[in-house]
Amino acid sequence: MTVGPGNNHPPRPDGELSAPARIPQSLVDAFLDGELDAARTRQLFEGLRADPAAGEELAKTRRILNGLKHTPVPRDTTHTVLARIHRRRHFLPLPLRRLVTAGRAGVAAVLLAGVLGAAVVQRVSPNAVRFTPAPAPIAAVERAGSDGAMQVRQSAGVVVETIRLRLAQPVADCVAIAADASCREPRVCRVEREPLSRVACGSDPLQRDWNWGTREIVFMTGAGNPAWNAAGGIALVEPQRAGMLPLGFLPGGDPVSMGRGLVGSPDSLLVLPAGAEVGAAREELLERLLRGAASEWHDSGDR
Amino acid sequence: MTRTDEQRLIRLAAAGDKAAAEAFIREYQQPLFAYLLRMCGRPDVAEDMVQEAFVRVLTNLDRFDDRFRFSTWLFTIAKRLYVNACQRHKPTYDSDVVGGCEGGGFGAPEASAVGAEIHGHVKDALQAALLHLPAEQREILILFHQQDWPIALIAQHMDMPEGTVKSHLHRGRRKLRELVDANEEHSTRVAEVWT
Repeated sequence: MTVGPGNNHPPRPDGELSAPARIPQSLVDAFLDGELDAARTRQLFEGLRADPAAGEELAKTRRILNGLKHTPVPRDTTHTVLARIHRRRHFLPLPLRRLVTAGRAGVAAVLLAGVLGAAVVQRVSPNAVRFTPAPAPIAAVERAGSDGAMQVRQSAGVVVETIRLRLAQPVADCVAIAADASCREPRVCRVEREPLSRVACGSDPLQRDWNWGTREIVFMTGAGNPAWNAAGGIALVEPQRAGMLPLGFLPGGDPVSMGRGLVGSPDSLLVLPAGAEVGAAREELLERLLRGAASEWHDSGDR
Repeated sequence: MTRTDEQRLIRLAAAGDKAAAEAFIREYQQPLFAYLLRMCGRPDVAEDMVQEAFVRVLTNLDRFDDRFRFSTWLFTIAKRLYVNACQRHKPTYDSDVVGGCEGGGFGAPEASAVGAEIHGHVKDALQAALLHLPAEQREILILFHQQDWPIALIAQHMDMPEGTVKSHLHRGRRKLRELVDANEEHSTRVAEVWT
C-alpha cells in the first residue's frame, strides 16, 4: 500500500496508498476509521482476497496502528498524587477548606491594608510612621538653634555653641578611632584604635572617666584664641563638662592636635582639618553622626 | 465508568472525598500515561505530566463543566501541560532538534531507530516515526487508534471540524506508514552492511 518492501503496487503521484484499482482508498480509510457497513466491508474483503498483496499491506498498517496501544505500564502514582493533593488541604471538608481559604485571604488582606495604610500615612506625615530608626533631619537642629535653644558660651574669648543629642547607645565600651596628623580632610579616619575618651579628653585627666551616655556636640565658632581658631572643630563632650571644655579640650595648646576637632559615634570618628570652617563642615558632620548612633535630638532646654 | 458514576464521583471528589479522587486516578492513569508517552516519547516526562494533570484536575473539580466528560477535561489539561513542557524544552537552535516541538520537542525525534537507541529516548521504530509526524496528526492518531475516541469527541477536544480531523487522521496514517517502512528499509540496509 505504500512504498516499501513487498509492495507490488506502484506509489501514486499524490502519495495516496497504492491500493489496487478494485479497492478504492476511501474504502480502506473508511475501514480503518471503523465506518464501513456490512455491505461495504464485504466489498473490501472480496477485493483483498483478489489482491493478497493489498491484504498484506492493510494488515501491516493495522498492526502498526495497534502498536500505538502497546505502551509500558506506568508506575502507580496514585499515592504520590493523593499526597500532593492532600498538601493542598483538598481533603479537608469543604466548609473547613473554605474557612482556611477565607482565613488566608483575610490575613493577606489585613497585611496588605496595613502596608498600604502605613504607606499612605508615611506619605502624608513622614514622621508619623517609622519602621526603622530614622535619622533626625538636620533642619531640626538648625531650628533648635534659631529658637534660642542654642546655648552660646563665651569662654576665653571663644564662642561655643552647644547642641545636645543623645546617642542611641553609650559608647563607653566602644573602641573609637582616633585621628593622626595625616587626617587633613573632613572624613572618617580609621587610623588607630583607641578608647574614645583618650582622644576626646586630650590631656585632661579629669575627663577620662566620663559617663558616656549623653553627649554634646560643641561647635566652636569663636575667635580670640588663635589655637581655637586653628582648631575650628567640633568636640564631643559630657554636658556637665561643657564649661570646662576649653581647658579640657586643648591638649596643652598643641595646635596640631587641636586641629582635629572630634565627634564620635560608636564606630566612627570624624576629623576636621585644622582651620576648617565649622559652619561648612557642620551639616556633613551632623548627617554622618545622625546616620550613625544618634536617636534623639532635644534642645538644650533639657539641661 | 458510566457517566452517572463519573458525575457522582466528581461530586464526592470535589467535596474532598479521597476515595473518589483515588478512583479517578486508578481509572485514568494508564490511558493518560499512554497518551502522553506517545505524544512526547519520554516516560519520565510523561509520568510527571500525568501527576501534574491529576493534581490540577482534582483540585479544581468545582470548575468542572458537567456537560463534558471527565476524560475529555483531563486530557485537555494534560495536553496543555504537554504544550507547556514542549515550549520549556524547545531547543535554542533549530539544528538541535529536527522539527522542534512539532517533532516531539523533547530532545530526540530521531531519523532512525538506530539513532533513537543511541539517545535512549525513543525505544521503537513506531515511536520514532510518530515523533516525526506533525503534532496535530500525532495527537489525532493517538486519540483515535490508541484511546478509541470517536471522531466527534476528537473534534471537540481539538477544537476543529470533524472533516478536518478525518483529513488529519488519514494523512497521518499514511505518513506514519511511510515513516515506519522507511525506517525498516534503513534498518535492513544497516543489517546488510554489517553482515
